[in-house]
Amino acid sequence: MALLPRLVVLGIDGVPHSLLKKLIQQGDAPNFAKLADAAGLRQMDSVHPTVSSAAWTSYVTGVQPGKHGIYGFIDRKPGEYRIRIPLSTSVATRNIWELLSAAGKRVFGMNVPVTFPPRAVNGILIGGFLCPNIDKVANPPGVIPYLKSIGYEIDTDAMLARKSKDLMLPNIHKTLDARMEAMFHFLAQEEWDYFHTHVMATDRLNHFLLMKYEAGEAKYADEFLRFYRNLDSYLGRLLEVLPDECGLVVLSDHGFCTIRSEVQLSRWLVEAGWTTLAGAEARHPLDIDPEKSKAYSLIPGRMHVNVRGREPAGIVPPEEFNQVRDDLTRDLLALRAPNGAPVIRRVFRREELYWPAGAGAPDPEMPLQRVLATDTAFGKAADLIAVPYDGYDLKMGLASPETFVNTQLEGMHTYHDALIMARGVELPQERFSILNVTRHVLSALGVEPPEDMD
Amino acid sequence: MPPKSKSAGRTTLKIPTPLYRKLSKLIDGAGYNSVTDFVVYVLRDLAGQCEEENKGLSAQELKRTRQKLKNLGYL
Repeated sequence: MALLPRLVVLGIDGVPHSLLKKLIQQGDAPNFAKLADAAGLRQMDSVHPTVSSAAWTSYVTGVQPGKHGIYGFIDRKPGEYRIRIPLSTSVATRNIWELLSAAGKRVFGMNVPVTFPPRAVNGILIGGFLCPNIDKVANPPGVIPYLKSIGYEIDTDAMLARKSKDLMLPNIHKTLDARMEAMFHFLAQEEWDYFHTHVMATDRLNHFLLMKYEAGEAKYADEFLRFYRNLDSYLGRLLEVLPDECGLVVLSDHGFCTIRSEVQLSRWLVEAGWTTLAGAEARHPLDIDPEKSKAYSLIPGRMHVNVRGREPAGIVPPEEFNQVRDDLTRDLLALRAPNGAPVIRRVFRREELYWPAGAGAPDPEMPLQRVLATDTAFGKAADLIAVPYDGYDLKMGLASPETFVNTQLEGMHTYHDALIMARGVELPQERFSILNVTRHVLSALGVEPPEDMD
Repeated sequence: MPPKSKSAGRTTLKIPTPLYRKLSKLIDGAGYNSVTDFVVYVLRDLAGQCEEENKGLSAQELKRTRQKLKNLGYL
């Protein structure tokens, strides 16, 4: 390759450190093994809530959710009991492409979650899977005809996976193949300073096939491995075109484990008396009777107290806010699965995770104005964040009368088992989270990280 | 072009001294390292609010995004 990038990032969404290690040991990922030998394969933490929108936004901004304001794929509309879908316009901080652009670097990004609509950068930004229309996916839009010409897919079609694993598999391969074709195409276009491609298909495969792989079901376990071998061969091709002096970071945003049960926390809140639904026909988790509801929840495990003066028709007096949080925490920790196993491992108060001074900062007394804030990045956070034991996937559905349900989903996210391999970027010696990577990437490119970056 | 400052990627803004003193008192013990940190935090939030999300998407497109999230189990 004549034109060499300075740093290439390949995001492999939701690939667990433990799984990649196993694939390497089995001989199913020889190219990942090669990179792991040269650059090391390390386990890292995700963020809370452990969901790709929050985790990747933490990577691309280098700050925790309390600063960037993205806590999930859905959020509540301030001043209403309605749901909104946060897009890149809701991210309160500059992303890595903008920071590098300001330093005069040429940048490329493709398909990273919550980058749609794509912001203007010194290069090309192709938005993530929330984009509903390929005609709007890229900035500048001049690259869209090329994307269409190769059959670029913004995402795999999860509806197919709900219908049949057999329908899903060709679609998932097609999505990966076109993504990789686009990656090599754009990589050869110019001497990029920062070139970032995202693979979402790994997350989709793990969501819909992980159980069958782990159970060794003949057909689907083979298909699962075939996909990862294919991904490995693309990495091999990338290693061939990138000389050792080019920086290369391969990372995932969270781990995965198999699902024992999906837990419809919105239904549980009704059963436990915390939420009263607006009527028997309520199907929407925010379709509540606000005058009889002390709390409601959003996926995954985000519990909001219906505080008077903050919520449109809140009933909990602000002075009772902390007591209500304590009571709800107690109830959450007491929740048991049908087999008697505890479901919730830990419940965080929002200030424990998202206080602007940084995660892990001392727990401050929550001033009233902070309790009542909704529009700030911190104020968008849930009041409590419930973290489940592995196997209990926290959801918010009301369609079923049951709290514990099983669907076509087979895998769920885990916090502690993300991975990173970094060549040409110096990482911290101690254990770190995905949000701590960014400043080291900037430093590797000779750009000083902003002072308020975590 | 914004004025240059010693710290890379930063620009100096001037605010009235009495306001600065008032902010210093306000953030005392609230977890901020400095008035600057607090002001950056507040302004960044404000800038985030000003942008209208879902801008430029039709009702049909929003429906498609919602359906996608539903299929993935997020809605």
